[in-house]
Amino acid sequence: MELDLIDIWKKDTASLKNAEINVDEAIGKKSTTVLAKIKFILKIEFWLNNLIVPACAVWYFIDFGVGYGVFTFMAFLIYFFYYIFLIRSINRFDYSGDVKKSLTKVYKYLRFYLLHYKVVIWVGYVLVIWGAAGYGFYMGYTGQEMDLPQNTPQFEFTKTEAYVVIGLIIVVPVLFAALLHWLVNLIYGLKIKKLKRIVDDLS
Amino acid sequence: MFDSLVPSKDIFITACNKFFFLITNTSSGLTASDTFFKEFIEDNKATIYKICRAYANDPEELKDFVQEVTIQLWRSHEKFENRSKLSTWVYRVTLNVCLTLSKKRSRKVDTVSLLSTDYHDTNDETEKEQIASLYKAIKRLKESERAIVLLYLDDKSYKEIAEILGITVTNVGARVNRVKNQLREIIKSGA
Repeated sequence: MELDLIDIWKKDTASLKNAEINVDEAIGKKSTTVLAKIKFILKIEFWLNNLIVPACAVWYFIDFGVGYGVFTFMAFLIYFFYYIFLIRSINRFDYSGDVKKSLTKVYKYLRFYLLHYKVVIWVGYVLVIWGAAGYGFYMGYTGQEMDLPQNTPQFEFTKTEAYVVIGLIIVVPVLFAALLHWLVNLIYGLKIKKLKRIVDDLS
Repeated sequence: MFDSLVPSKDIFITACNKFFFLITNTSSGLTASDTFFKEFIEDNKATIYKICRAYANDPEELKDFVQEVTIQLWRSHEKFENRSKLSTWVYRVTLNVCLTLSKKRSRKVDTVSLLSTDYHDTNDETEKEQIASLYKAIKRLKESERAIVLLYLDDKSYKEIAEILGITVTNVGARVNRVKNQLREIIKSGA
């Protein structure tokens, strides 16, 4: 039986003599692996970071002061090196090596990147906006801490309107963060889940 | 006895490969290595096709797999080191690409159309049927087991199988026997 199987297999090898692989066409095309897709998105983000954040840093430096400009530029530099690190990790991935080990490593880096994204979204768009908008509303509603004569309130809201505004301050950032969370999951999360499945199957 | 003293074809190809890459790997282009790579793919197309066919579910997917394998071979050929044989390297890259690609697709397997493509150069219907049955049986195995059986059917030694899959020779022995039995059962049951 064993010999038969090997014989059949050999016949198949012989039958493939007319098979064609168009090398020029193949190497001219983009890879369709999950890693290649993630790398493509990371590269887009890398260039957006290179173009937009330094421009913002200059703007903040001029309009809001040195501190804001320097802080933004530092954030740009951190992300600049982080993107390079991630892209290089994917580039170093080699199918002729220990795929399970290197894929697990890349998966962990990307999972952390996704986690960082989610933390930034919820902290940046919910906690910070709640804090800033809430504080702004408090100052406008009460007139306190504004150096105005007799703490004159700036908003003329009825109590109901004030509750609506507070409600909006609470709900809108949460909805916005949820939307961004969903987008990030769509862009990275699903691909990283696929990567996890591959790693699990290789195990 | 003297087999080990005679340089194998793989070692010769590896040396040529290195030589071509060394003299041609310039920014102006890779003409000589381009040609060499094409010849290299031509020499290994049967291996590439057979492995891809064991993992792909339909002709369209087979085409995608073969293309992806070619891309990855092209990308990693410069990283190739003489530590392993060229054939071992081809098997490793092809199997690893197929193992990592096939996870995303779980469509219905269409073994018949996989074999009825125009490059399948045989008019012998019995032969075609036998090959189709063999592939059908192979496809019923787990993906990691398929890798073992493909290498076994290609007459690779346990040492080579171990090197390609990155497992121990003892482990290979046990797994080959288990997979052979499974394949035997599947074929017997006529699935």
